[in-house]
Amino acid sequence: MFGRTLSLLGLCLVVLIAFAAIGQRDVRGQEPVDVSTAIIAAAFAGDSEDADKPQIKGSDKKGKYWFKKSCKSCHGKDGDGGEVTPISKTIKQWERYFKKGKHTGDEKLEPTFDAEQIIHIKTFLINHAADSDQPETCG
Amino acid sequence: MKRMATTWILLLCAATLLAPTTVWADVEEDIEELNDRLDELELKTAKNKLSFFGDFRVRYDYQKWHVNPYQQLMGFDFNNVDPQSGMPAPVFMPVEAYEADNSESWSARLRLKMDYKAGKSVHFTGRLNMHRQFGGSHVPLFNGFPNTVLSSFNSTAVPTDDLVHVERAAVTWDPQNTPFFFTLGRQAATGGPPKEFRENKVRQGTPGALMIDAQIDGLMAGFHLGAIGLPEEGIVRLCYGTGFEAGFGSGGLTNQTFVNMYFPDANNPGQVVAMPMPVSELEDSKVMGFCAETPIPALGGDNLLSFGGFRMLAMTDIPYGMTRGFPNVLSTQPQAVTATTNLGDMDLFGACWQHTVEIGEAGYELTYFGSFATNKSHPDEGTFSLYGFGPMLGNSSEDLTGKAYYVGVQGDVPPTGGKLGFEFNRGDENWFAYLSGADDVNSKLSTRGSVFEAYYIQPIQKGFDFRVGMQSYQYDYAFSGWHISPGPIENFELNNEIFSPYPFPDTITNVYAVMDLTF
Ligand code: HEC
Repeated sequence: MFGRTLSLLGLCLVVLIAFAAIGQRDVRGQEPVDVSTAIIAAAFAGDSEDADKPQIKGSDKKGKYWFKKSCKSCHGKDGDGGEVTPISKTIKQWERYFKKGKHTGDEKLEPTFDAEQIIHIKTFLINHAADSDQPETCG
Repeated sequence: MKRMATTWILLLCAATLLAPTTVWADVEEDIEELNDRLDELELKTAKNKLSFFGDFRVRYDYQKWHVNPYQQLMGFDFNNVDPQSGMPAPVFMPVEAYEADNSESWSARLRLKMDYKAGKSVHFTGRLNMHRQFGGSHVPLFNGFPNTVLSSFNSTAVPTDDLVHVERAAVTWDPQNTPFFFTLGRQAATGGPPKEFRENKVRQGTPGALMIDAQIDGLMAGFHLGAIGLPEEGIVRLCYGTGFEAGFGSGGLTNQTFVNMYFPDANNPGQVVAMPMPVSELEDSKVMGFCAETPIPALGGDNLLSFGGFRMLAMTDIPYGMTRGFPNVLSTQPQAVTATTNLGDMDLFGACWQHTVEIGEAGYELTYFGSFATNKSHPDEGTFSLYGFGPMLGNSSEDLTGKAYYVGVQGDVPPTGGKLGFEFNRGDENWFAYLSGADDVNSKLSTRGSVFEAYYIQPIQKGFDFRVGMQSYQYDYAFSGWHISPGPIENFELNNEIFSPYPFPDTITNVYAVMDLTF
């Protein structure tokens, strides 16, 4: 009985890993990819369109670091730019914000800020946006 | 001809001049319409005072128990009554070692989290929770662990029926421009750090999971350490909660009363004998303590150091709760159990360090954590549970100390985008912490013995994942998770043939698979 359950679970695990391996895309970063869609897409279309564009992966931890370092000076609680935190915008709003690439008015985010930093900051802000799961503690 | 051309040109000019005005009129109309729609939307959002979000989990469990030979309490011999105490002699029967398994058990948990901002400095958070055992019954079947006595500390951790329970409901007042904040209500005291890694969630609660994991009502005063130059995220919280409300004392308004306790009659199987037992006035049971936490930015990554200390005052033997199969008579029927005595105080101290670091250029993450806790009993001399479960930690004349630790690692699995984790925890003979609301099937962190766990998390997309895992329990002593024991806990070492009111496993294997959707 136990053996059968274990092997069933093992099978589930293998199937899951296979699914994910075929999907082969980052599921944590800024672009959540539905693995099942990815499989179907991979089966029919071969390589995905931006397969050969080298893209660095946004890092939540680096993003948190750079956000504190590059943005908090003006966007702290009493900053000149007004307080900005991940929960200032929703996931979609952050996505639009970075797609436009404008900081304020006509000033572009790049090259005022380093392009690589922006990728990490974007990942951090989206991961913790207002409509993402928020930590729960007393108070 | 020439005049006609001039007229045309003039007309054209006029048209070009007029055109913007007509376009402008269109735009104005559009804006007006947008305004109306926005007003409507604003009205609607203003009326939607609570925002709802939450998660949904379906869990499969396989469990296998091994029970060592032991002596089962069969009842009491009323022909053999001790003349001094007036108590009938207990009768035991040897039970051979055996194995039992539950090959399939399913449960579903729906948590609706709520949030309402009443202004800049006041907000409300709540969590409604339905935790259903598939095909389940109204009252859980007692499996020997305190987390199967359905009480208000664990009403949402124990899978039961399809009722929705209020797991959390608290108002926070965070006065502007001060480092203080206050919370009053049913607190976020379950699933604290470092449990979130295994669950693949953001942090779910305040106190460390090795110390307190139970739904607790009380009040809390917090202080932001940023105000004294420490890291901005650092917080110290003072907590005060109620563990048992005794009213005027369980006997009502009198000081002393008698209740009937039912004893199985060993000479007449199936029969019980009622014996009146004195119940003295009960005191409220309170808990006081503090939780402190801060990241250590110099160490990089995402890290958190948390520690705390609590004193549980006038602990009662058993909370008010419902159960089936509790070691008492007629155990197939749901029965209510309740506190009979205040046993004494218990101290609890603990700390947890958790750290997530990135490895290599690709930014893959590795998390590790270590948690340690210790408890110390301060029993009231001569007090014991009237259910026959003895005094605090089985000894009402000595202060006893227990210890436990809990360590784990979790790492990204680059080819699959998944996470693989291993955990180990160990508690000694007198280990006890307030973990009755832990939602492991057997409350692993309260184990007097050791538990190994391995799991794999496969995210499918953001907020949706599958997990499979295995827990292997090795118990050294009986009554894990309980602060009561019918005698010194050393008498309940599971390798010796213990005398016991119910079977205790010496090993448990729990294999689980979970689907979890966060919304
Ligand atoms: C030198 C100061 C400064 C720094 C550094 C800075 N900002 Fe700003 N930011 C401003 C000011 C000023 C505004 C305009 C505030 C206003 O219009 O009220 C602003 C506005 C914004 C806004 C609001 C714009 C909108 O459309 O909602 C966002 C978001 C923002 N900044 C993000 C960032 C991020 C992300 C960084 C770091 C990469 C950053 N800022 C760094 C000064 C700064």
